[in-house]
Amino acid sequence: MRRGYPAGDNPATRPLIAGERVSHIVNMAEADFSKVFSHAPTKDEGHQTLLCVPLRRENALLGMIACARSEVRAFSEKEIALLESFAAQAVIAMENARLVTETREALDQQTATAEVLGVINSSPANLAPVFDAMLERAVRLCEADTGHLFRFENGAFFRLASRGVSEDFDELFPPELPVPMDPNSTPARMIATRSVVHVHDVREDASFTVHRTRDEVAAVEAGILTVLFVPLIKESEVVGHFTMHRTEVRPFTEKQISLLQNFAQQAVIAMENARLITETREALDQQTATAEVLGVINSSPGDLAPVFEVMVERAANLCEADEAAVRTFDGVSLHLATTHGTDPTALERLRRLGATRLEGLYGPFARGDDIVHYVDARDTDAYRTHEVGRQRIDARGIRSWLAVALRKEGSLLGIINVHRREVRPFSEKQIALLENFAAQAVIAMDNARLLDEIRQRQAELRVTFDNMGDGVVMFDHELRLAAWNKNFQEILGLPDELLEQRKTYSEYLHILGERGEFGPGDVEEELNRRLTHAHEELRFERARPNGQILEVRRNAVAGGGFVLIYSDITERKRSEEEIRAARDAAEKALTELQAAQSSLVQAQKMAALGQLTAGIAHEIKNPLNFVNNFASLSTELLDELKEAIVEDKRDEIDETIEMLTGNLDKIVEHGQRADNIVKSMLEHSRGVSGERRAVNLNALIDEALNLAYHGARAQDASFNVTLDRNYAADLAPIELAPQEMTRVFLNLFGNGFYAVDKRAKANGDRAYRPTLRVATRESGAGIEVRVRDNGTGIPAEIRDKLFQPFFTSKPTGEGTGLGLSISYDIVTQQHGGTIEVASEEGAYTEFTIRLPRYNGLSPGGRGAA
Amino acid sequence: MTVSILVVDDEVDVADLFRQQFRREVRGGQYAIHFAVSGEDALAKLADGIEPTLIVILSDINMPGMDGVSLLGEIKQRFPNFPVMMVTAYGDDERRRRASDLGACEFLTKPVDFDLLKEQLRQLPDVADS
Repeated sequence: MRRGYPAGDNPATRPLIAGERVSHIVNMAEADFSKVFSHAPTKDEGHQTLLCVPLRRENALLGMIACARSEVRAFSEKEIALLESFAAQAVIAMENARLVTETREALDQQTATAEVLGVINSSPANLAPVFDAMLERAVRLCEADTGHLFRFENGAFFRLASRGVSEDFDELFPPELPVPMDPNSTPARMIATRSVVHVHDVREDASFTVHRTRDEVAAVEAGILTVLFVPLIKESEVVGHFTMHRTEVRPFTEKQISLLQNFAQQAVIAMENARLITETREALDQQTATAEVLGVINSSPGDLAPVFEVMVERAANLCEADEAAVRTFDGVSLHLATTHGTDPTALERLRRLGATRLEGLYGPFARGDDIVHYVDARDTDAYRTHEVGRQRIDARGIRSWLAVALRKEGSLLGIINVHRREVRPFSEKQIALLENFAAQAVIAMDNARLLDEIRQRQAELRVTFDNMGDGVVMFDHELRLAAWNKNFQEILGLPDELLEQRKTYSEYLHILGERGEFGPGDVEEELNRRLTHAHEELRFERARPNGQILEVRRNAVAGGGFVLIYSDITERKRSEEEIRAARDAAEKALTELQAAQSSLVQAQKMAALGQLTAGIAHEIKNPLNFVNNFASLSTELLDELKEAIVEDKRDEIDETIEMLTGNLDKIVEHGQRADNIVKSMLEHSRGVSGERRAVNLNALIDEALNLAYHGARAQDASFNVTLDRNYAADLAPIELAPQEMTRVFLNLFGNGFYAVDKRAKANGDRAYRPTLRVATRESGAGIEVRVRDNGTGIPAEIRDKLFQPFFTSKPTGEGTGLGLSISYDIVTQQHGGTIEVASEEGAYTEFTIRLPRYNGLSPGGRGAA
Repeated sequence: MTVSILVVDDEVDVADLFRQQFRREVRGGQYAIHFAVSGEDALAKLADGIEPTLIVILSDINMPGMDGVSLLGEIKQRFPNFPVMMVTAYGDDERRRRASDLGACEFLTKPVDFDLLKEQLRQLPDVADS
């Protein structure tokens, strides 16, 4: 019924449009209705006469009232006037209805706008309800069948909201799926012109009929006929648009278009607001989170657990993740530190699994990546190829996964990661946030490490400080007690309460003074003395009332103040005293020892002598026996002589006198023998008292040689020997004990004389010339003396016994056996030299003495005899 | 009956001493004095035969070559019935014991007490007989 038709071609309405008062066709058969009807209405409906009265308001034709008669009979004026009256009433009614409608529409629009604004205000950051509300009202007010709201970004459309669509529409056209813009489509036209595109009938539009783009085809298939596109414009750029569809050809009114434009502006504002609010809130959230993490780092220095805990909690929230975790890396494996959102069973399993290698999802970190973002963990090589990784991903429903390395100077310290149990990539902001957390974690770990090192160092220092053997106390630049160690407290017996008062140096000294630490003297004077030069280095010892001896050192500290070091040196002092006493005792003992040594040498000689006493006794007893026996016999013989004289027995007298004479000779002989033995013994046992001095060895030897020669001549006038003196001309003086060496040479010469005399007397050879040769010469660092005789020589078998005491090759009574023994001692022990003998029996004997110029042996330090 | 006394001593004057001390007994034909200057000399003289054959040996202990104790051992082996008296300046018990073990009948200490020696010699036949 509402079908309209063009008024201009209608003979009935043409006059009304032309402004006539009425249109009165008395005989319709005479009028041309060919353009209105396919057949004459008169035939169909029996209309013969037609009257049309216009409905006019302010000369504008709003409509008409038409009346028809089935006979040709003109309407009367009265009838026309009546109809005109009806027309006027209709116009008033229409006007009233229009006014009412317009008011209501305006109200609807205003209400919708207000409602949209209200929604915007109630959820400024969340646009989904805003768009829904906006679109719902737009579709309603525009009387559209379907409506959509799109976002336009980077050449593609994203559906934000839809109305009047089927329930499976979201599945067919997923909201997140970008729809690339087709340049020939109607929206492309809208974007190019940045203005409304209104297609009244798609069947007449090139986009739908010529280009037949996908969307347009779809629209046509959906029965859409009238389409309206209203762009969302922000700063001259199209950022989206409303689309309204009608399944009938009915253009949208200006009012509807402007309403939609209004909504478009509101949508832009809402989007912008939402962006700003989101950005602001995100920024605020991130800043808050960062600040919170920093706060935790500061409030629990060195303790990483609370830092990681707050970090994973905030990371999970702000990244809209289901779980978050921090793992530390020890160079080989990852170790779970903290998690958030992981259910206890999964957490237990994770903890039981222990360390994790840099494999699977973590693989890229081993290759040096800093950020790893998987839109879907199931769509990764790790999932496909890494068995353990796949199990974990499945077990915990991991889909979108983001992890950031904690790196310091390139080395991996750990990993922070978040994941979702749905496929929804993390935003740039969230990635940035996690990076920020990672950086903070690195700082916190570094801080913790440094702090740990510092604490360790401090603890070590404290231990060192407390374990120092000395008591140490420090006074600061105000001369106030600043630090002290345990030993200080113990040595001086100061209670904690006193030390904690942080006394000044002066107060501290007063306390010590009052306790009598500084002895009975004037305490004030002592204090003044110490305080006057408080900044000077000081070192002194003091005895405490308890007998303890303290060494006190005062060292200045850079920046003011000083350190006092108390060492308990009581023990040291005692030790020093003991050492000194021990040293004195040792020195005394040494002196005594040195004094004893010479007598010890003597004593040892005497001891040796004692051992040989039995042998000596035999030697001495024999001559004594003879002396005694012959003396006693002689007494008897004298008695017998007297008798013989009385009886005048001549033969008996002569015989007895001869016996007596022989006995007396024997007595003298054996007496001398005993005397010689005793002399030799005395000689050997007498202390060697020779003083050392530099002498001309040639002169000394020559003197001894003469002495020995004359001695031998005096004993035996028949004795003769040729002396061959062969002294080195330039012999430098040598330091020795002259008396002792003289004895050595006398002995050697005496032996030589004996040997040659013996050979001379045993040998009838008159050609034999007894000779004693004495030669000296420089030899190395000393002097060599050779004494050679051409006498009887020494049998080889007794040559090595030559220097033994009491060994003699001479017949009984002719030698003591001590001469060479003493000589040996003098040369080797006293002078550090050597004495050797070379001999050939019946040919020669040669003694070689070598005396070093310096032998390092002091007269008192010679070795045992 | 004359008894031969063999005196062994490295000191030749010992021979004169004994001859003078025993001059009366020698003149009276009681003793004949023989002398050896060493152990070897004594063994040689004993081996050659000494007249009269009742022999008493007096030996010094300290001698060059074969000493008195060795000589004692030799004599006791070859002439077990000859009494041997040891004479020494060493009066120690050890030597006395060794000499006694080897069969010495007396141990005289120098200087020799000739009166005691003569008394001991007088008792010898009894000792030898026993």
